[in-house]
Amino acid sequence: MTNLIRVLQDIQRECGYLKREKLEEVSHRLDIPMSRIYSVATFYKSFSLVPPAKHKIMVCMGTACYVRGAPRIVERITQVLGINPGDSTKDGNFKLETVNCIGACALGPLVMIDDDYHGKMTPQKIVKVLEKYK
Amino acid sequence: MTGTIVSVCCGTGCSAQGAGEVLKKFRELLPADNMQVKAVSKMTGCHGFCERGPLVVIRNDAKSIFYQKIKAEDVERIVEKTVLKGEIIEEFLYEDEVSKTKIVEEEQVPFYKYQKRILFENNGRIDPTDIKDYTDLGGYKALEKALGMSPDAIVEEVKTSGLRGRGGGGFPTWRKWDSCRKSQVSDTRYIICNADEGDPGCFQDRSILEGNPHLVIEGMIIGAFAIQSNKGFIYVRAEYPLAVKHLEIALNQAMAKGFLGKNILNSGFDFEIEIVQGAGAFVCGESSALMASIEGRLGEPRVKHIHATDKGLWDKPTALNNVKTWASVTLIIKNGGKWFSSIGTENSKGTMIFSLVGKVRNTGLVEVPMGITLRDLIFKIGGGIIGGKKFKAVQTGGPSGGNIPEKYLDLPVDYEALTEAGSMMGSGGMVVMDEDTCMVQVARYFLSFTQEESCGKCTPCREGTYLMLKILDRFIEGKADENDLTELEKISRMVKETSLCGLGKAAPNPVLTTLKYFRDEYLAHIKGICPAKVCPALIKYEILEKECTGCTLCAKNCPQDAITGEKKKPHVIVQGKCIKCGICLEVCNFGAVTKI
Amino acid sequence: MIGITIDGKKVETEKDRTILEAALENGFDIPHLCWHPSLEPYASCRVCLVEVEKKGWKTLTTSCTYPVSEGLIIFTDSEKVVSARKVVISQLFSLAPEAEEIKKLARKYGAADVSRVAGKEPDNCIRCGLCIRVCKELIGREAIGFVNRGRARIPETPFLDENPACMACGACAYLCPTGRIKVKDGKAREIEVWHKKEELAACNKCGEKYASLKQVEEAKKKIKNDKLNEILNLCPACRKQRITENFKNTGGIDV
Repeated sequence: MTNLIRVLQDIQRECGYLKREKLEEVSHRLDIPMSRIYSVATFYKSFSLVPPAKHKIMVCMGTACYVRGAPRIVERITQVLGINPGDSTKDGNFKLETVNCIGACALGPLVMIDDDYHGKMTPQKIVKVLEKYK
Repeated sequence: MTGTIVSVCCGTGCSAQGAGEVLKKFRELLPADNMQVKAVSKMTGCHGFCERGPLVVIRNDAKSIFYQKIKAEDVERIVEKTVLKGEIIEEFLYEDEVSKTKIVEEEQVPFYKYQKRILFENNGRIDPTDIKDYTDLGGYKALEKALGMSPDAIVEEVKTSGLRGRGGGGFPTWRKWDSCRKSQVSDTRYIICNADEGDPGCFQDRSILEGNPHLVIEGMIIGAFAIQSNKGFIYVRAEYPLAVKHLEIALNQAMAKGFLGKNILNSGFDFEIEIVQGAGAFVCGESSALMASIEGRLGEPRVKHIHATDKGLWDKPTALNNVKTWASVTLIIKNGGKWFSSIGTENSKGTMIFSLVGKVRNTGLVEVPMGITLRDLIFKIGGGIIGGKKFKAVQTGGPSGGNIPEKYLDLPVDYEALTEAGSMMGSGGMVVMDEDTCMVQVARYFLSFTQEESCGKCTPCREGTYLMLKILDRFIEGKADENDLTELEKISRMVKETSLCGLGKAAPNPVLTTLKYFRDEYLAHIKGICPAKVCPALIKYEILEKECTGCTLCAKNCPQDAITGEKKKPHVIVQGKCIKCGICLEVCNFGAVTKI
Repeated sequence: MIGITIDGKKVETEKDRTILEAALENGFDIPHLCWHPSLEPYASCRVCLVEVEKKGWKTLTTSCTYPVSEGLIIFTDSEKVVSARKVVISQLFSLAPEAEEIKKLARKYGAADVSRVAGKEPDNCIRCGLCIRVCKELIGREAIGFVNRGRARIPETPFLDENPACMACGACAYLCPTGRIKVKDGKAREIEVWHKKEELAACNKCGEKYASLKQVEEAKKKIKNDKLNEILNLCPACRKQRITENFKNTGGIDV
């Protein structure tokens, strides 16, 4: 049984997002109605229908990080970059996301940029950290 | 083996703090093939004491020396002194906060001393990517034993143990297995391991999968044999790449050794396990939504009166259990159901792993016998509240659970007691809060999580939680009145009673428990006061003239340029511009900024 | 046949019924929005909640999905049911305050106006899923689906674009309880909510535009019978005329 989610995960991994042409190919080759594919693609958060930004900022909003001030870090990033969680900067350099618990709770507040972990973050420190990725 | 083993914790927490570099250095200095020194370094899974990582434990037959917060540059000294000469380096030892004494042995560190680590026992001893470590410590002997038993006998053993589902439901595991194996619907049966650990603040399942995947795999094979299922799935969150990697390695190694696949250990029993990755939906931790996801469909839960043990995955009888449940099965068959039932309370047997996080000194994963009091967990093991502040509440069971106040600190932690107090065991999240926590904000935080993760199918969860959130916002902004309080309670109760699945039914719990135990905070917010001084709309930051040295540090760091003042003269915060971010309070070295 | 009790009255019903089916068959008026006799129950609106008593335990459940069993006791308007229904209806009312069917229910149950706390502009969709389900289960085109998750969840076409799978048959509009889906027939057929514009077929006899051309063509493909296909080129009125005439002439219903 071909699992639609698995197919989409492969495409997401390869292309960085779900390209419309690829989805149409899936619909055609696996004989799955396009509306079903689009439903699944928009239901699960790990899929993106738009091309990825150069750097992905993930601010952990898990309980431990939250209790240690994660929302203020998000506010600061919004101020500095002019984007809300879920959006990308106009120049395509940064995408801001809040995630629910990365699982490194003792390091909270935790901010991940691409594969780099930045622990014990504060609203001031984050500005300097962002500079490194500009 | 006479020799020293240096275990370097490489769980995600320690890895994030540079454990990888530490391990690399150890491997350089203690090459695996070295003849002179009888010492090897080993990569291990999560030890649990994440607050003090990177952790290094040096073990030989005599003792186990516990070193904390190790950096790559410390390794040379450790090898030279401790590994080769057995000398202790004081600065790396754990120091007891109260007595100020340094502790050498891992087992004596209070964090570990009061735990009962049966599931986590080997996390700090084995390399999860080497099955030989697991088998050297008796791994897969339980499977051997089980294959020589009848399915009836295995179910009976699990029944004796009193094991209850560790995913939160607490349903007797033997009963689920029995319904599944006796189902008339089909001979094709499935078993599933739910590793979609979605509760923010919980990472027990991740640590077991990363650190000792075989413990779970062995349990699944045993369960499959009892249920007579030939296909199993492990559904892991997409956000756990290391767990997926270690599981893949473990499954391949188990297959190669004949513990999985066709004719397992010549028993005639076939069983294979497939890993399925989640795609980013908390609701897929709910059994029926999880199964829909495995089938490639939307993670929409279905009504509960259709039992998965009859019509589960692809409408076939399915037994779904949590990671910790499957891991417990291995130990139960290995040591006996009676042994397991000797731990814990009358109705809650065995151990539970809690992820103790929040405002405690010692955060990390703790495995304790059921029945330990909250007080012991938080103060003895957790080391009490950071900064000597006052305990306020503990949230158990994640976003589906409730907040428990001080008066219940002597509550024994078990399924029934927690439920009676209005909370639940859930998957073991335990978030500790202190006097600086605003309980209305806590309720809002957890509700916003469940609200966002709602699949959206049924009206009460989709709309009701949103309405509750809007009302909570009014409290936080100081705009709420008595009607809002009544409305909030009414909608909360209705969402709880009318939602289709567990997510919706439990989403109001944080609100309902805070309304029950911290009603005074809601009433204060109506009057425009936030007792914990957290809600920005209800607090003010001010600079104390007497303490201010005019160093200008706050003004320089204020993101709104809301602080005025000349050098060496007391500064002032312009209230109209202030966004209450708190940076000034953070940077001031003279304690001159205060919150009122 | 088995025996159940609804609101104190003993009724007999077939074993394979759900509570809602059994109740409606026996004259009990349980309100419902997302249930339809020709579709699989979906249990999303939660309006059809009832209380069931089994072995001394009372639970609130949706009557559209719960199967009947011997001796089941059901309460369709106990205090608990009514207060639960009221809250659910008020939530739906905030989504579609102009829809007649919803207004009627809101009036009947005194459902409060939640506009004080609702923050969203009503978009006239109660997410019952009838449009999607009829398109999938009965029409077999699956041209629309639920897009996004949670509060943003709404029936839409893939990529919010015109979907060739949609043949503008209008079945979705027929079932929509709020009137969000509107079929506008003029020179062509337009269904704005699905970004759809479709040519209309004109009757071979009277020239009236009577159905989406694509739907007629798809029907012909499925039926694969030249004589029957001819009938499909006529509008319903002319079709009826033709069949009546044939019957008069031949005594049969042959076209």
